[in-house]
Amino acid sequence: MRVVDLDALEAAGIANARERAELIKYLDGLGFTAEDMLEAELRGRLFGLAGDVLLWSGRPTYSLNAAARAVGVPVNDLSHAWAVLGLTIADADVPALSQADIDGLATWATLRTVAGEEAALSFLRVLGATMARLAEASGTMIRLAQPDILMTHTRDELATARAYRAVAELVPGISTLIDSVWRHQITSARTYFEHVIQDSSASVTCGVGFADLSGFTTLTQLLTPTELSDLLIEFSGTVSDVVHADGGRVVKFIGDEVMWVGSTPAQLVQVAVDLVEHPRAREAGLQVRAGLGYGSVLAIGGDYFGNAVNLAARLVAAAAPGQILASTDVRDELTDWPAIPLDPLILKGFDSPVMAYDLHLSR
Amino acid sequence: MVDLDALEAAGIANARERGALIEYLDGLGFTAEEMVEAERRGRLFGLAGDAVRRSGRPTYSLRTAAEALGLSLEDVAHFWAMLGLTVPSPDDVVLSQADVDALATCAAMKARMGDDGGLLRLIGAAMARLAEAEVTLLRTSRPDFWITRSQDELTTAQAWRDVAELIPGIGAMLDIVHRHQTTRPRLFESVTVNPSESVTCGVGFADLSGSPRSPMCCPPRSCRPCSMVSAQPSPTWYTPTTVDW
Repeated sequence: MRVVDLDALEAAGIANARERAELIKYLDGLGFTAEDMLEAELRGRLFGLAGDVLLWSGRPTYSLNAAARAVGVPVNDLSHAWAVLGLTIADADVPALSQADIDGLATWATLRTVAGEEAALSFLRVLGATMARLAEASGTMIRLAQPDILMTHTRDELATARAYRAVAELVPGISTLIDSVWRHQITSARTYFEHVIQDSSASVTCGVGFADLSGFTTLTQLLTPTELSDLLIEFSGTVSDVVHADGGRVVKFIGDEVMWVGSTPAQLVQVAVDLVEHPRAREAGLQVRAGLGYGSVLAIGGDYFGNAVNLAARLVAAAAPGQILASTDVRDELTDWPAIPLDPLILKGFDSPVMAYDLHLSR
Repeated sequence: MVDLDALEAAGIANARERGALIEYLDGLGFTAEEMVEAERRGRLFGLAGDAVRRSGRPTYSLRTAAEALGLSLEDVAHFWAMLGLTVPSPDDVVLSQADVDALATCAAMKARMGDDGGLLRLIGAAMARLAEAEVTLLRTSRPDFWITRSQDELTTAQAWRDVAELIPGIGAMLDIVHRHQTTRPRLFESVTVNPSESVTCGVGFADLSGSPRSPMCCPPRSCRPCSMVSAQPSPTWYTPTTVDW
């Protein structure tokens, strides 16, 4: 067993090394060198070192300038791509990127050759935002499950170092999980698009649905943060299960609202019915409402834009609790489905009154 | 030399008429068994790309994966569903070793973090969105990627193979961006002062004013710059007030 020279470490720059001897011995036991520890101390992350190394994509050996040379692109282009991912590098001459980062950036360089510069940047933008959201959500879940990763919670560097290391040990497995799911979702997306594409443009023909919880704004003022969190987690889980079970695709959640798409109007309405009639909502004393549109929409970056989207969003806002309001486009595709025509609705952003049909109360 | 008659006898329809496709697949090293199996799935034209896209050769069913991991079949199927993936029949051999490793991580997350599926759903939703974005990018930049567009099996086989070769690289990019995004805001120590869901911050919305019909006033292709017009407020961003982001 090695003997850690605490005096030497303190002289080299680790403050109060003797008082932090247990932490230093723990790091030494994991194989970290004095240089590793000094570098971490300089970043104010001695307690985080054991976990940080598992989170990094590799040892930073490339500066931004060196990375640009390695990838074979102008440094400004590379810097812009990194910024589009939501990431920053303060100094272009300081090593900040690993070999894995260079490999990832090389993929971007290939992608822009295949798809064009703007299309590749748009994809990076979606990728960065998606991974940022995932990182933030997983961070929240982890700190709730393992509060000892917070220094402010333990006030003990060693306890936090150990807790953080234990959580970080999951990261390589999560990387495998993400890659596996990504590859399967590519197949799923490809299959879905085969049913909705019209041509090689970004337009597709599909159903678009929105659903939300009636009275959610009032609820947010009545519930504790924990109750609100539990409600939203259960809502998103239940809704995801229903949409997937009925063959639809969840586009996004915005608070208590979900947007989904389906390749056929029948599939779209089935999701809406299953959401509005879901027994868990009833048990919780909540009512769901939905708005549905159908037609040609732009599918860009995993999101959807166009008249059918706008109309469905306005219809859910106009729906009463438990109501499913559908546009004429949906109604025309489902001639066998009972529908109650409503008086034309005045909807924000639409110049003239819009016809809508109730597809739930009619059943 | 490919024996087209033998392939036809083994189940590949019109093998002689599809000789160029079969020779292309043979040139990439695919065996007769692999071609026959792909034909059975109606994916002979997709075989070259599918092999690159997948996470490895399928060697496990849900049932054998559950046995290998020491989990119940129900647990494994539940994990798969929470990831937003279609649950196969218990004995269909569709999972690779990498998929089984991924399922092991699901179990570890549940055991060590008490995760009841919230994070799995998030990962599934995030990957679904990215996959849509990726497929959109590929289908608009390489339309021959679709058999319905090319009407030619060899053309689509080659186009799908070309773009599928990007998928492992993009998967690696997801990993590095996830790692950087995880460490960037110091989510574990500095974002909040206590282990609760609550943080104190500012919340903003912005959108483009104007009629929601306006994006449809021009042909969809020329509409891209206007595509931020959405009925939903977007984007959302947060500004710190009392926390150190």
